Formats: sequence, structure tokens, C-alpha cells
Amino acid sequence: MQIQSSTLHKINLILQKELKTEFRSHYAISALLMFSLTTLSVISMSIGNQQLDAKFLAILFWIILFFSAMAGLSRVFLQEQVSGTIHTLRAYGTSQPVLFGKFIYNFLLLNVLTLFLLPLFIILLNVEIYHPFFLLLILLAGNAGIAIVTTLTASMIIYTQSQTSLFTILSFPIILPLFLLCIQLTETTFNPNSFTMQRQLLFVGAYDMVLIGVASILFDYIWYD
Amino acid sequence: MNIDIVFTNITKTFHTTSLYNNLSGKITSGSCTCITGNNGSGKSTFLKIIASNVKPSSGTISYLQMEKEVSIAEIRAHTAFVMPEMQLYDALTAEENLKFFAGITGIDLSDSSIANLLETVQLSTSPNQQIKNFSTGMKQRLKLALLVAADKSVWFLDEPSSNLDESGHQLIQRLIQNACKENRTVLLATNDPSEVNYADSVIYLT
Repeated sequence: MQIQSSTLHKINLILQKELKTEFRSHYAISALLMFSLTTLSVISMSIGNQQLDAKFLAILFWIILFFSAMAGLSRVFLQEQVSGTIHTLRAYGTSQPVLFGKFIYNFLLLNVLTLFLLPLFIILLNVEIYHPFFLLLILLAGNAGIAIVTTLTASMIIYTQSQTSLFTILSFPIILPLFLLCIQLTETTFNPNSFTMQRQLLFVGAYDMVLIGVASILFDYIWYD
Repeated sequence: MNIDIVFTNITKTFHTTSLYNNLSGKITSGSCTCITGNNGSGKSTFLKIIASNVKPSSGTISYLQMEKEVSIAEIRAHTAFVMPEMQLYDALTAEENLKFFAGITGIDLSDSSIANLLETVQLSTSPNQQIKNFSTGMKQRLKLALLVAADKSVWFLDEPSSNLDESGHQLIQRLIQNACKENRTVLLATNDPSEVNYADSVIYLT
């Protein structure tokens, strides 16, 4: 037996476990993909051939992403609670590797969802992207923010009664500033006459950092109390 | 790590029903303490209170190392549990479960260590077999393998022989006897009279 106490190694173990169990059970990914697909189909069919303006398209995209996240990302802790594995994880796992392992997993899951959603969104709603690299950065920054908030909120609601509604209610006000900025920034990438807004993107990155820092501090109390 | 556990004036009340009032005592490092009593007397709850997994209605728990108090976060690094509500990942194999849980406690298990652990708890599995098809007794043996793998100095065992056959009962006996020889502190909540015999001291809850 070799002692390995590095936190990074433990984060990697949690992430690998999440990926392995997800790959074998498809708990979260099916919920995320099905929700986004059905929502996008309904929007696409009701709009028809109509050309929507950049702002409206950006709003639609982030709404689909946000509600898909609400449908699937809480499972990162809820599934542990339902199956009883949360007790074993709490008994043997330390707080920070659990938080960051699950955060990275949710972040990856959101990026997979975005990879699935974006091409369909472009094709079905006839969207043109004028600043693809900038859009990529917005999506990564936005997804990181949503992932850390949903991970933290999911850990807080596992012992409550109305978990799903509480999850959305608690997550929404924290995600809202990020959400509004991401919509504003995404709009610029759908509009040929606009300029990229690097300063706002930096603000999204800074907000993510604050969220990660706060989540890291709060999670110790959630995990040990 | 030698840890003494001191509990002072522990009271636990559920709604209007009081389980126990002002229980005080000390569990010394390296001892085997058995918590026993009738059904509903609060054995499991008392074990969880001692482990700081459940808060008492009033009273305090202190963990002392050389008379100096240690925090709950620190004590968690030295405690291992077998409890009925603790489950393992059904989608993983026995080996993957052991490797994962030992890994997050900081122990990297080699394939041969895993094979030895499974042999110790007399659990034979085929490779790549997810534990979702295991019987409850097989899962209990896997939890015991994890207990040994985690190599902690304090063991909290709640009905460890539940769902086990006769050889499983003997296995529990061996594990506890070995733990005592290795100077581990064992707290055992049980209704099984044969398990009470292994204990240095008994807390009887009425």
C-alpha cells in the first residue's frame, strides 16, 4: 500500500468515479440531452422560417442551457443520496476533493451538452456566428459558473423535501448576474456589426473565481456539519 | 493515532420521546466498547453521536489526543465505519469500489492488496462484475473489506454482522480481535450476544 495524499489525486479519483458511473448508468446525460433537444425542437417548430434578432437568439440559447442544467446537474449529489452512497462518501472522503471532483464533472457534462446543443441551435434557428473564438470563451466561462453554483446548491438540498424546486430557486439568484452577462456577450457574437466585449468577459471570469472561492469555503461547513 | 473519546451529559430527544438523559463516559484508545440494548433503545443513534455524525440534543463529545482536543475534520481522517445506511456504488465492481474509497482516504491499493482483502473477507467475484448483482451479505463483506483497507485507528461498527452467514459472524469476530491486537479503538452497536463477549466494556441502553 502506497500513501498518496495529494488533493489533486483525490479530485481525479472522484472525477473518474463520476465518469465511470455516468458512462455505465447514463443518469445525468440523458436528462440533459433530452431536455435540451425537446426544448429546442419546440422553439424551432414554433418559430418556423422566421429570422430572429441576435439578442433574442442569445436569450433563447442561454435559457435552454440554464434549464437543461437545472434538469440534470443536481444529480451529482441527489443520486448519491438516493442510493445511500453519500454516507460512505462522507465517511471516507474529504470536502475539497469531493467538491472539485464533482464541479469538474458537472463542467464537463455542461460542455458536452453545449457541444450537442450549439450545432443544432445553429442549424435549426439559422444562426450565424461572427466571433467563434469569443463565443467559445463565453461558453466556457458561463458553463464554469453554472457548474460551480449547481454543484454547491445540489450538496445543500440533498436532505430537504422539495429538492428539485429548491435547487432551481437557490441556484437562480446566484447564476442571474452571470446569466445576464453571458446573454449580452453571446449577442455580440451573433451580430455582424458588434465588437467583442473583452472587459465583460473578464468580469465573467472574475465572477467565476469568486463563486469557486466562496463554494470552497462554504462546502467545508456543508460536508462536516 | 491514540484517541480517547469523552462524552459528557449526552441527551437525545426525538420530538417528545427521550432516548437517554445525561450519559457521560470515556472510551479509551485501543479499547473495544459494545453498545447494546433493546430495539429502539438508540444504539445506532448513540454510535452516530459518538462519531459526530448526529448531533445530540444536548451534551458534548470531545476527541482527545494526548489530552489535547482534536477537531471533527481531523478525527474523520482516522475513523472508519460500517453502517447499514452506508452503500457502495452499484455501477462499479468490487475492486473499483475498494480502489476508489481507499484512494480518497489517501491509500493507493495495488491489485494484489485488493485480492488479499477480498480473500480476507471471503468474497469471490468475477472480474468486471458490477456489485449491483451482489447479495446483501456480499455487499456487507465488501464494506468489511473497505474497513480493513482504510486502515483507520477508530472503528464505528453498527450491526456489522447483519445479513451475514455463520462464516460471516466468525469473520467479524476475527476482525475485531485483530483490531484489538493492533490497538485500534472499536465501538460496536449490536444485539448479538456473542459479539458483546469481545468487548472490554459494555454500554447497555434501556
